[in-house]
Amino acid sequence: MDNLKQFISDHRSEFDDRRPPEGMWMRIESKLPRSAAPKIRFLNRQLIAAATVLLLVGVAFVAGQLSAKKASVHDIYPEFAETESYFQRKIDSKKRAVAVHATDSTWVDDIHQLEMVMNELRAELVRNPEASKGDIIQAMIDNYNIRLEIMDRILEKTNDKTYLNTKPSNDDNPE
Amino acid sequence: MKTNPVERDLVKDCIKGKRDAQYRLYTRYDGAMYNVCLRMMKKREDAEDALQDAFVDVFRKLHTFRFESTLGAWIKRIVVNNCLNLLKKQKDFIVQLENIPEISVDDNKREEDLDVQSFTVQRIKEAIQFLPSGYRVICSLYLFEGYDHQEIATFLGISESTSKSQLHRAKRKIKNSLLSHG
Repeated sequence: MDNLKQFISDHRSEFDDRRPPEGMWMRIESKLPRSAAPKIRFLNRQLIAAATVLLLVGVAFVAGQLSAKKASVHDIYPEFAETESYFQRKIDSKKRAVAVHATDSTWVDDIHQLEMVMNELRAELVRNPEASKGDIIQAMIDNYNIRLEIMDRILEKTNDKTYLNTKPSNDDNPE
Repeated sequence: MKTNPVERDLVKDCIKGKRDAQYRLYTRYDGAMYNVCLRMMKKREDAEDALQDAFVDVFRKLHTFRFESTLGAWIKRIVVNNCLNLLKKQKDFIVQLENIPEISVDDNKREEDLDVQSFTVQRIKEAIQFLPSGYRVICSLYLFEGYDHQEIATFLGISESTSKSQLHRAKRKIKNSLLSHG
């Protein structure tokens, strides 16, 4: 064995000193099949409405109670910032594709409802950061995934090759 | 190969889709694999993308793991392949691999050892990070990850002699870099 390889082998732990960002597991988990909740098989307005109601009931009591200036979600949970920006880029990119290809505009309302739910979740996390933080973060990730899934289903229906070509947008490859 | 029964149970639970088991497997290897990605990809964002894609692949393919190697070695191959998939999309990476003339085996034999006195972890890290992508990847695979030239040649789709030449030249560059800091 040459002496450089030997030196690296002897000091391996010092070379392996970097840690992945905190949000990395969330990014990976968001791409894995759901372990408990069944996947949405098709775009179903009633299902979305039911999900919306359930989520809203859970956090409704905080609606309207927030003062104008409070700590942001990212102050409380900084490692989530990167995950959010990752999802947000994907959603923005997909929204542009759907806007071009959707045959009607009902999706806008669906996405808007989910965005409102997201605002409530965000507010609840800020209001009460310690209680069930993990559950709220999971609900936020589910919310992002449902939005992406809704838009994916619209795009699948359009069966448009153009979309497939534009899919790896620059938005998905942050510099 | 003897397998650790705890690891075997962990793998089984991951295959069943148990999220807590998947998280435990991830935290067992995330640090080591992230450092593999950082050395190969150089840019932090690229390393993170490679790590994410690799672990998604790991959980998708885990049912094919036959305990013929260690779980860590199996995961590392997936990590390396994901890094290479991303690097191959960078045009200059392929050009670098192809455009380096081979050197004779005699040259390899004459290769003198680097001066151990000039070695520090930090200097070696910097020297490797400043290598062109092709050299950096071969150095990472050979010096850090313990693959031999036959395996590296298979990973990269190059000949073994090209792999040897590249390593030789990369080490010469590292030596120059270490001397210039000495």
